[in-house]
Amino acid sequence: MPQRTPVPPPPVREGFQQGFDLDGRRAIVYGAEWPVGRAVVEALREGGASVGVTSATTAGEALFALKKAAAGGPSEAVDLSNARNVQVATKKLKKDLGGLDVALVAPNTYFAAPLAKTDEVALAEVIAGNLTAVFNVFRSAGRELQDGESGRLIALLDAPAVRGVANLSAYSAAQAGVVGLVRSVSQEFGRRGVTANALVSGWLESTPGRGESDGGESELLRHIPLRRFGRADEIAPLAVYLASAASGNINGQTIQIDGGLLKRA
Amino acid sequence: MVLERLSMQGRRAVITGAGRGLGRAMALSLADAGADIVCAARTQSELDETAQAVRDRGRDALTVVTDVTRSSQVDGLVQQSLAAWGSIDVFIANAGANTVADTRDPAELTDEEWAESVTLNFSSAFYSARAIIPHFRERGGGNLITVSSRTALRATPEAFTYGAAKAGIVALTQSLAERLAPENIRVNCIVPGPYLRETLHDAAEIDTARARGRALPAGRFGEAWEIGPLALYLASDASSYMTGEAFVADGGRLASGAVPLGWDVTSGAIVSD
Repeated sequence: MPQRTPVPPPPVREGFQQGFDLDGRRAIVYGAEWPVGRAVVEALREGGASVGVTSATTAGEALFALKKAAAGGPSEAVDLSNARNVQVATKKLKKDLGGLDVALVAPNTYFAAPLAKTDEVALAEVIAGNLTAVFNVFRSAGRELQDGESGRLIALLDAPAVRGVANLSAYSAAQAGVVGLVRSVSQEFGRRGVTANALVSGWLESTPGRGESDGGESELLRHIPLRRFGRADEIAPLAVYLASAASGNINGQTIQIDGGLLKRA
Repeated sequence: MVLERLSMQGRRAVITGAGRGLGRAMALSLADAGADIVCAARTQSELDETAQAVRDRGRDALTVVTDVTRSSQVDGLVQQSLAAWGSIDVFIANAGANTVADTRDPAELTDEEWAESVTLNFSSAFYSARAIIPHFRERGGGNLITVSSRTALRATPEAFTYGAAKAGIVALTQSLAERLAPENIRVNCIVPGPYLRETLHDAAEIDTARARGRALPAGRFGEAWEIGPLALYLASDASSYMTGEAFVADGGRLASGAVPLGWDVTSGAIVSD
């Protein structure tokens, strides 16, 4: 066995912040128009990071929401399923931010229909909007992250990424694909000091499909051990942790933040 | 402000196995964030060192010599903590270790050796939960953190009793989390991967160990202090919607396994870069 030089660990950080703070770190949040994306952008900024944002699609309402999320910061209208689009926006935002340390993507092309009624057009769209979107972001951002500088690739996923749900076949397959992507990228980039992780949220106040009537909602709430829906601002601190220098040894993981939901039988 | 959700100001935590290693790292991290710490372990001199480091950070520390394999001593730990401070916010059931059982041929392992490993690495977490739950109920909530191991989730022939016991910790965590969630008690589990043992003192030994770390997915072992921020995340309000989770911090080790460490499928060989 040849003698190998180990990768140096990050420096010890003491005091209240312990490396959780994002001072001097530069992040791009892709798909910032969704409620969780927006909460994460705010939290990363509160943590001290410079944040650029992109939309997930170029639909009119997405661009309106993007403008709000950008809050005057750098932003790019992007269709995440378009590789070239993602590459150009990543380079542009990196330039605006003066560098890149964190890429965080919230894919969210939701689609609910029975398998028999999901045609190949719908499937292609759902795969493109979820799996291809994260693939494009990880590939582009992976090229731009500096070796040995605590680079972070993070995907924000939804519960069907790890559990089966009837009438969500295409959506859950596309989201679950990201889990495999994260595992392999974690092995490929680990020695560069770049980690890849996924964060899976359970039922949030903003999750679609939870039923209009009070009856439907309370049925669902009884299924969540903590007996309440999560708030986007409860997901955000985990995103800050994973984006920070404090999480250097967390790699290849799919971490669930769900009020206990996904541990149920 | 998002970082303030990590504050442990005015909170009190009990940590078992706090005399060294990952337990001490957790104690110091929580103290850095403002918590007072009850340090529990078997060896007074090691507890004193951790307690001093907590006090150096301007926080209160209490030491309680505890053998977590004796449930009466775990009960005593909770009683003494409450007698001194009145209230506990967080209990981290961290104590555990490989025992002689893992060096034995499974066919020749005695009942006593099996029991020693399982009591230290599994039952101790239950003793901790049983001892602290009444207090958490009384105060309307609380936060229990268990500590498992990478060996719980993958075969580890050289630690087969340890891994089996630690797998029990994950199951216990998940079920307790669901059971106690309506009572505002969160239960989560830290799953550490390969960490550099701080019992290595010889510089050459440490270098050799570090060099072995190069083959790992992250190119290095974890350093004990790195578990601190994870314990703080789980112990604080920053994780308010997380319960039942087994949070792995292993540099990517558990995401690997389909090929030997360092294997490159494009060349069909182990690359030493």
